[in-house]
Amino acid sequence: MRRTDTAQRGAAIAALLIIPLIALSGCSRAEPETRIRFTAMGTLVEVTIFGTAEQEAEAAAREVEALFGDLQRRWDPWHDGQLGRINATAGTGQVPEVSIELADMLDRAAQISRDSQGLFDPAIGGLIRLWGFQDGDNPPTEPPSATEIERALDDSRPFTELWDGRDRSLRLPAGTAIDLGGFAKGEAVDLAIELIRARGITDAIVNAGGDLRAIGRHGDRNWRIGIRDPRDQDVLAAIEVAGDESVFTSGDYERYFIYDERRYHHILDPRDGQPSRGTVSVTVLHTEAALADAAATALFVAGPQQWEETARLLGLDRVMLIADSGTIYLTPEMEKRVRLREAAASAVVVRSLESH
Amino acid sequence: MPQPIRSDPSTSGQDDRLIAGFAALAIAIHILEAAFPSPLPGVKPGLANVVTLIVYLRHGLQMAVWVAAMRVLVGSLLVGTFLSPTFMLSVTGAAGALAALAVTGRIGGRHVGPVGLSVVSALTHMSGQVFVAYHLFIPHPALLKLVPILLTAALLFGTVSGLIAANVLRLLARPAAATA
Amino acid sequence: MIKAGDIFILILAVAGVGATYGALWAPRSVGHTAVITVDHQVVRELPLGTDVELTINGAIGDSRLAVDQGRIRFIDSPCPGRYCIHSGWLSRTGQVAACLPNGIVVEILGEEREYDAINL
Repeated sequence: MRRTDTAQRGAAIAALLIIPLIALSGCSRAEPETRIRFTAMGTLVEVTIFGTAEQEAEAAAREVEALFGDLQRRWDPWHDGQLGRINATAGTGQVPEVSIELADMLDRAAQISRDSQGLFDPAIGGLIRLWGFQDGDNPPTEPPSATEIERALDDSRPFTELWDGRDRSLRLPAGTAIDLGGFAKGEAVDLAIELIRARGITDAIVNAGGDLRAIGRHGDRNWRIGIRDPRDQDVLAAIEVAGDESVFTSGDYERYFIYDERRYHHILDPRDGQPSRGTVSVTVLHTEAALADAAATALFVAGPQQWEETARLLGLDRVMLIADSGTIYLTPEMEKRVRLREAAASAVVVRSLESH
Repeated sequence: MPQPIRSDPSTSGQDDRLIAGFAALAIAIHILEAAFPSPLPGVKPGLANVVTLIVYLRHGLQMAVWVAAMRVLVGSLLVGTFLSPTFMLSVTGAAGALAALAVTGRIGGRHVGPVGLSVVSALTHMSGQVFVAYHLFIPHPALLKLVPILLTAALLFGTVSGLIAANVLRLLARPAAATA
Repeated sequence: MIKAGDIFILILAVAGVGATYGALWAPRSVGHTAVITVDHQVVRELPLGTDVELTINGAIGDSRLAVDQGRIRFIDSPCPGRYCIHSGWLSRTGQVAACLPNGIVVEILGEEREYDAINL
């Protein structure tokens, strides 16, 4: 019968149309990506591993978790780990015991401190404690008095004076304390990546509270990293990372309080003991996370006037500094790498780091 | 052959047999559709709507409702899906299509023919089914991704059905066209 | 056979169906579910389609969250720093807000994430 015949033909054609459409719109391919999150060093740490069987990836991530927990205890400036006990010897005349790993770390920190002309200084623990920024969960609510700050400054010494690179020992006068805050996260991330690599994993990201090191790629595409705007929730710039690279940002929005309509944040200028002014955030790209971490801090303190010189001295070429004024400073290499969102394009100034 | 319900006394005996035939055809198509693979279990393209449309245009809304009800009830009993989720989807689809026919027919009047009616009723049929499927059975976002495709299919089906119906009506209207 | 009204209907139908592509095939990076963990164990998976306010009990007390028009945020929390609240509205796949002192983390799930990681 023609009617049913046409209807059947119509149905067949429709089926031919629908089935490929359904297939096209079909479910996304399951990708072997494992993400494990845990809390350590006062922040959320996320380990992303690509292309490895879930069980193996999870085991590796848990090993990283244990590593972070261990390092946190060791490097906490105020409690009973190695660094805490070292700080407790301040003013006692005792020479504290420093393990080989810590000595290596302090050597490198001293080098960065010298290169940055003291803008990065791990010996400002006393000042940090005065301000109350040592506990991330309990931020302070008001600034210390000028007198207190002056006294703390008088007590403090540059790290390079306290650390003897030759016999690898520390001598801490009263009122001084080592706080590896601007360096420890980077160091932990480096060690975590080493651990992951040792297990034969080649594609991963270790992200500690937003600061990360990424190795390899995400399958057949690069890792896509978004750099968040310091003032709102949006992504300000996108970067692709492949091979081995760290992305570290220091910002005035990480630990801060507002008092009398002024923002007081945790990145103190070692020269005057006050939160450094003029900069909103600094992002550094570099292979090694520890250097990227310390450098971001140093460059923040250097500010819009001095950052180029400091970046040059530290041997960096990929830096972004966002100033109070809203201007976004980029090195030429950084400009090639970041894709800024539309609205930000007009605020960009590229500076080449060449000595003037 | 099942006796049609005589709600309209002016219907001729030949039309009675035709309506019964249509009902049977609709049921047959319903069973056929049940055999077809479908992107979502129970969601059907509504091929049987061609029949509903033809009956509506030739014999009015009441007859169309009757044929549609027959199709859904008997069809589901025969296929074994009576009162199942598939049944609910069928009911919703058929009801939506009928409502659409009635409303569009009333508003459009002379300006709307089988194709327009068919497109509207096919889209309503599909939308109704998707709505029920989403809210009662699969409230998953993935279902929403299929909607544009399902609606496009409904649009195509509706157009084709409309053309088929138009042709059938033309054939049936020929004075010498006697269908036994 | 084809009347003016039919053409009118066809045009409307094509436009309408086309619109559903735009509406429903929105960027896959917009999230559809919020996963809430306490102490890194999943306690709630919340579809973002329904506006709701909820309370999650954590290590130091109750945090309150609100879902509104496909987004979620912390609206109240017992922590001193209130950083979780300052994180604002989350809606895109992969976005995270956390009240660390209370041990609560909220993450947005979706089909595709725009970024593998966010640097901040």
